[in-house]
Amino acid sequence: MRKIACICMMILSILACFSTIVAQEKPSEEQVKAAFLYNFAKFTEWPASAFKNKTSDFVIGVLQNDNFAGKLTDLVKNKQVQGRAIKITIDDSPENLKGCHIVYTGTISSPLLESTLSTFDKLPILTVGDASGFVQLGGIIRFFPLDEKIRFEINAEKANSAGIRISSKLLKLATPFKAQIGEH
Amino acid sequence: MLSKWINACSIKSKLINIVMISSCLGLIVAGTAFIVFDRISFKQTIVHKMETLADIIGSNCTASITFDNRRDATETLDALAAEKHILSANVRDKTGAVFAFYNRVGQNFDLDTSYNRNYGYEFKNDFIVFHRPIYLENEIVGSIALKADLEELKARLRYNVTVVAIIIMIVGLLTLVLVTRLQKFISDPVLKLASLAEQISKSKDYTLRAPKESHDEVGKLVETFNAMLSEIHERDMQLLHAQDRLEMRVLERTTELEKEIQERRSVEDKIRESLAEKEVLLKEIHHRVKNNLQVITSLLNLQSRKIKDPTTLEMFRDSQGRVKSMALIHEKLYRSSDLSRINFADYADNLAKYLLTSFKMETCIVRVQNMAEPIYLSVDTAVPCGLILNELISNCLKHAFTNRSEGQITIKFYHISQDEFVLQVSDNGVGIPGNIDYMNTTSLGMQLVNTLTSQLDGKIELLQDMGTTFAITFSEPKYKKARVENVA
Repeated sequence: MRKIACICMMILSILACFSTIVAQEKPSEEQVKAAFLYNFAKFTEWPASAFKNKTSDFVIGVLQNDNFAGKLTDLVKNKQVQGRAIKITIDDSPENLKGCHIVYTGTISSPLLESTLSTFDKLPILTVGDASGFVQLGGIIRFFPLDEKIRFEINAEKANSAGIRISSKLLKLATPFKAQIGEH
Repeated sequence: MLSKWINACSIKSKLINIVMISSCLGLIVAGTAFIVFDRISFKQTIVHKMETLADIIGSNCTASITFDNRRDATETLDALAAEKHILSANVRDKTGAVFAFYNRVGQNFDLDTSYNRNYGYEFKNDFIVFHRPIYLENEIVGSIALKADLEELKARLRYNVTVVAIIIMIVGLLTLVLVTRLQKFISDPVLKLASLAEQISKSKDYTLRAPKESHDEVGKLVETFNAMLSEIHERDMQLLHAQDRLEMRVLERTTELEKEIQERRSVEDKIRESLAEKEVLLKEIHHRVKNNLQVITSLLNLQSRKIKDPTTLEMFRDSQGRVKSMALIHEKLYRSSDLSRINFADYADNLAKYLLTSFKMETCIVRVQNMAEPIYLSVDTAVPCGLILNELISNCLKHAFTNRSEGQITIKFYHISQDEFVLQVSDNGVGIPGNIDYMNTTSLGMQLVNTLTSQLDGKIELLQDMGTTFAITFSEPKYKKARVENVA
């Protein structure tokens, strides 16, 4: 009896494993980025002044990218960050995203990027983007692909000047970036 | 078994053994308890340490897992190389797939078994397996498993065992030294008491006393022992006294008895002397009586020579015979060893011979056949018996063989019962003429016979068959016999 039960269990567990493998299709690049964006919030501290009160929402702003915003909204459904509910805001104008805590700029690049980033300058907003030269232009985290994986680089000095504290764990994972002031 | 062995030991070794066994047992129990307790607490320490380590590593891996950076996670795990007891470790993601792992040099990745278990830890023989979840903002993002060897635990056990063993040895040695010194307080008084008891039992000297050194039970024992000794001593002294007194008494009594015996002996000697004197005297008396009677016989004999008348001569001769018969009795008496009784058969022999010679039978040859049994008679009975015999034989010689050339006289004397005798004199002569009544006769001889017979309370029978037979039956008078016995 026991042997039969053991064999049954084994078959069941193998089937279960198989089914999870089947269910886990490789996530899309946007999905990974959305998850990363969400997880950045967990490794970052904002100053208390960034929130209206203790229960106010944690706001993630997405600039001009409805598709990404849709993915992100799916991901963060019913989730919380630092004890706060997550709210996704999509807008074309950076001015309207000044109250966000994280702003994802997507692939937008210079010169629009420069003006966008200057809008968020000195504000406690974690700016995340894909454009090359994003961090050099004053962005804080930039996604880039490496060995079929999404990696990121962080401008820690910029984050510090914005009053945001990024966890060393996160910094350790990032490709270190030194702001080359005066280059641009 | 144990009690037998303990009982066979001396008090000293008993004390040492008891203390040593109990202290060693105590030390072993305490040491074991310490080792067990220390092991348990050290295990807790290890668990705590591992927990902390797992949490730190797990926490350091949160970002790696979250951002799918295996290289970073592996680097984090590689930091475990500093912890030499960690054999292997791995980090899994939310789905349970291995995300990163670490193996110490020479170790194989074998933590698959640990994964399916619940979170927590498990001690195996040689290692401990640890499985902890990794949290990120209250959400489990993965898990970390650690496998560590227990060398530390083993080393600590070895160290603890060594330390405890050394402590037990040192304390045991100290205890042994202390006990060997201190046991004297208990065993010495007892041993002293025992050796004193032995000494006393050998020397029997009950004046010895044990010194009292302590006020405990042994001290009490010493006191009691001493009290017992003094009691025994006292009793001994009393016994000695009593013995002395008894010996004195015995000595006194012995002296008295010896004196008494001496006295008795001297009295006996005196009695014996006096008896001998009396015997001599008695012999002398009998001798004198016999001599006097002999003198009378001789006088009668001298006198009778001048007598011509045959009747008178016969009377003289008869008288001579009667005196002789009495003299013969006295002669027999003083010759006998007894002095009071005579063998009547001997007497009858002598008397018959005398009578035969005194009657000078010329015409007739008479023979006397003495068939008397050797019966002893006292002088009181012997005298009348002798006189009767004299008369009867004389009668025979005078009358029986008239006109005969030869004749025979038979004398018989025998018992018919214990005290009754028969004296019988027979002849084969002419017999008594019918006109003569022997009971009523003028003959002095027959009168004498009758008188003497009645004196003896006896009776006479006359048988006239082939001659004449006189049989006199009598008994020795009782009072006379008693007197005779007393004298004997």
